[in-house]
Amino acid sequence: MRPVEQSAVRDEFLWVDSSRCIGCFSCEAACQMEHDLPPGPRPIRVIQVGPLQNGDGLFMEYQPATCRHCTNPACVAACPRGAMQKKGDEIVISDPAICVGCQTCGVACPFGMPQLNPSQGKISKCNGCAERLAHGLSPVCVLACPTEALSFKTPDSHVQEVRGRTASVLRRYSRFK
Amino acid sequence: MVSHRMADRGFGSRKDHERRVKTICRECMVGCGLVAYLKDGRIVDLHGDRDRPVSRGRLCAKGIAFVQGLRNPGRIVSPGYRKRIGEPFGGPEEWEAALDLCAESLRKIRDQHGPESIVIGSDRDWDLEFAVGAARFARRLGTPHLYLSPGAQSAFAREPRAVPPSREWGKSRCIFFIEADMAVTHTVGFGWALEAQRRGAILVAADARFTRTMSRAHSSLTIRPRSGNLVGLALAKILLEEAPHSSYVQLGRWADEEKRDAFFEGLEWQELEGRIGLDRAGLKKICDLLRENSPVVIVTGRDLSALPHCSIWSSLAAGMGGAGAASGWYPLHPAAPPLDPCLGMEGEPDHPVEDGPPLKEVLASSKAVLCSGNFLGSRTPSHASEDPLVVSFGPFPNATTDLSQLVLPSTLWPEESGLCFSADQEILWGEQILEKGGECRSSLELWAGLARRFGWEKDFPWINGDGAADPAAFAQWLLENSPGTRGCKWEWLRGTGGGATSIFWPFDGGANRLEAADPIPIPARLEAAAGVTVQDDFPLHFQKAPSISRSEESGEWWPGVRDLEPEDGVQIHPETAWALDIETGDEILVTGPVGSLRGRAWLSRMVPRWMVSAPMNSVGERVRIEKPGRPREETLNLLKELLR
Repeated sequence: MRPVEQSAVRDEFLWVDSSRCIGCFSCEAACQMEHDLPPGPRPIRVIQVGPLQNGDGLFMEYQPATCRHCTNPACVAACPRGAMQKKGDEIVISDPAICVGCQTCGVACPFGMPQLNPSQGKISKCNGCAERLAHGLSPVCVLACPTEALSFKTPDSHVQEVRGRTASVLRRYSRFK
Repeated sequence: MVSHRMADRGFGSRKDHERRVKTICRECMVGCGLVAYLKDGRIVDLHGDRDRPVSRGRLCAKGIAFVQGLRNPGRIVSPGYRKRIGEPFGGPEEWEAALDLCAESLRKIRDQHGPESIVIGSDRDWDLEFAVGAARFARRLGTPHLYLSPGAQSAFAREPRAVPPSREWGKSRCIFFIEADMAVTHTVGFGWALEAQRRGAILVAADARFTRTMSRAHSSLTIRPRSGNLVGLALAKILLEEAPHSSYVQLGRWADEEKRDAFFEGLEWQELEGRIGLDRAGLKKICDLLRENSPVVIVTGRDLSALPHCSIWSSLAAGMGGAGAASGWYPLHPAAPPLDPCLGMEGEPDHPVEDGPPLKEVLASSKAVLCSGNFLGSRTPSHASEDPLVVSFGPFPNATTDLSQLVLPSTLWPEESGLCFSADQEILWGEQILEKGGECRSSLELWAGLARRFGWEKDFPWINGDGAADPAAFAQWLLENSPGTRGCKWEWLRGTGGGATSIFWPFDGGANRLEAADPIPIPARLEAAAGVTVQDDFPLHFQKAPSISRSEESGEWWPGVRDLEPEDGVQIHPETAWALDIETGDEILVTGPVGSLRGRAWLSRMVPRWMVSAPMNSVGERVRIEKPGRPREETLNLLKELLR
C-alpha cells in the first residue's frame, strides 16, 4: 500500500478524450457562465478539425483546447510584469491586480490560450477552477460535458475505467464466439 | 492500494444568491435537470442537476446560453400595433388592451368576411399549449384553416407506443440515425449513444449534410435530403427479397400481407435509388449491419415524422427484437402523448389540411392571420392580396413580425411553469425559474384572454374561476384526456424536476389499459416526389439547417454563438463553388421556384456537391445559385456539367 502523501499537488488531472468530443461547446458556455465572462474570451475552446476528405468519406474531429498548465510555462517567462505565475499546486494563473493586458503571454503560448477579456482589459485564462476544487468539486467544464470527453480523475481511476469497460465488452462479445 | 477518488461532479454555487430552483431545461426536450441560482430576480448561476437520471448533471451549451436571451435588449416585451407594414409600431402598450384590439379586429373580420377568412398557424412544434389552444379557438371560430407545425400535428396523431429510453441504449448493439443530427439537437441524449459505443455498439448515420453525429459514426452514408423514409422502404424491400423469414419481416406490423407484397413488388429499384441517392448494394450493406447487430435502436429525425411512409420505421422496429427496452424506434420529434386537442367540444373534426388548397393560396385570400413563431417567414415570402391583418405572438423579432400589424410579446420557457414530455417519453413538470417581465404572457394566457373576450371560457379547460390561465389545470386536463397518460396525476410530477423520479408514458400504472395499436395500413403506391419537376432550372438540392432552440431565433441573440454560424451563410461544397468561381464570403443568390434569397457563400465539405444548405427560409427543395454578374445560362451549364 502506498502511503498517502500530504502534498499541495493534486493527482487528478483533466483528461481530454477528443474521440468523444462532439463539438457541442457546453464546456465553453459553462466556463463563461462560471467565471462571468463576456462573449469573447474562451478559456476552454473547441476547435473543429475538418471535414477533411478521407478516401470516399469525410473525417471530422473536435479538439477541446485549454491551458495545459505547463511545467515550463512560456507565458510565465514572457510576462513582463510577473502577473502570470505558476503556483505551488502546479496551476498557472494570471494575477488580475498586476496584469495590464499586454497579451505578451498570448503570443508566447504555443497554444494561444491566454485571451483578452475586453470588459476588464486583462487576461482571461483557465484557472483550473481553483475555487471549485477547494470545495471538492470538479472543474465546471468537466461537469457540463455531455459525453465525458472531458473528465477529471486520477491516473489510477482512469486505468480502472478502461479495464472495466474492456472487460465488459469482451464479456459481451465472447458469448457470440 | 489503488485510488478510486474521483472529484464530485459538482453541486452548489459559490456565487452570492438568494434562492435556488430545481427544474427541467426545456430547450430541446432531452429533459436535462437544471439547477438555477437567483438573486434580485436574475439568474446568476446554473448547472446541471446530477440527480436527474437522464442527464446526470450534464448540461449542453443551449441549456446554459438561454440566459442571454432572457434579458436581451432585442426582445419584444410590450405589444405593438401599426396600421400598415413598414410604419413604426405604436401603442397599445398593455397586454389586455392589445388583446381587446386583437379580439375586436378578429370579430369584425369574421362578421364581414366569414370565419374562413381567418388563418391560425404556428411553426413551433414544441409549443403544445399554443397548439391545443389554437385548435380549440379555430373550432369555435369556425375556420378550417389551422396550420400547426408538422411536429405538433404528428404529436396529436401519435400512437401510444413506448420508445427505448436513451439511458437503456447501453444494451443495444447498433444505433441507426436517419436524418437525425442528435449530437446537435439533443446533445445530452446523444451522450447515451456514445456511452453505448464505448460498450461496443456501432453507430450508423445517414444524412444529407455531413453532421457531427455522422462524424462519430462507425458507418455513414450520404442520402438526398428528406429521403429518409424511402431508405426505410428500401431496407424493408431488401429484407422481403432476401430474408422473408427474418423477424423483421415476420414481426412487422403489416395490416395486410398481400397488399404489402404488392406494394413492395411495385417499388422500382431505379426510382428508389434515384430518390435516395444510393444504390442497392450500399443499402444492402446497411441492412446487413442492422441484422447482424441487433438489438437496434432507430433514431429518426424531426422532419421525417411529417413526411409520407414514416410508419415503415414502426414496422422495422417491431422486428428489431433483442433485450427488452434496448431496441425500437426513437423518433426525435416532440414526444407529446396522443391527444385530440378538441376533445369535449362540439362540431365535426376538421378535415386534414393536406386535403385542402395549398397554404400559399389560402394566405393569398385570407383577411387575418393569427400566428406564433416564424409562421409566415418559413411558409411564404409574401401575400398577393392587400395586406391582411397579421397578429404574431412571440419573444423575438423575425420575418413574421416584419409582416405583422399587431405583435404580442410571449414569455420564454424559464418564465412559466409547464408540462413537458421528453424525447424518452418521460412526463415532466418544468418549474418556473423566474418571473416574466414586461407585458409578456404565455400561450395559455393568450388563448384564455381571447376566449374570455368571445365568451368561450367553457371550451378552454385551463381557465380557472378568476378567469386566469392555470398551467396546472392544463396539465391535469391533458393527462386525463390522453390515452397515453390517463391515470397519471399532476401532483406526482412535482418531484420530477428535482429528483430521480421518472414517470414515462404510455402510463399504465393506473387501471388504464391501452389497446394494442392498429397495424399500419400499406399505401397502394409510392408517394410522388414532392417539389418541382423542372430540375434543369434548379439542379441543386436545398436543405434548411434546422433550428435547434426552443427559444426560437434567440440563437441569434446569444452573442457567444453568433460567430459560429453566420445567419446568411450558404454552405456550398468547394468543388461546386470553384466551378462557379465562388469563394467563401462572396455574395450569392439562391433561387428556387418560390423565390430567391441573398446570402454569403461558405465553402464546406459538410454538404455534398449536389446540395446547398442555409439557416434561411426555404425557397424550394431544388435551387440554383448565382453569382451576381455572371449570366444565368452559363452558371446552369457549369452546374449541370459538374453534377453529371
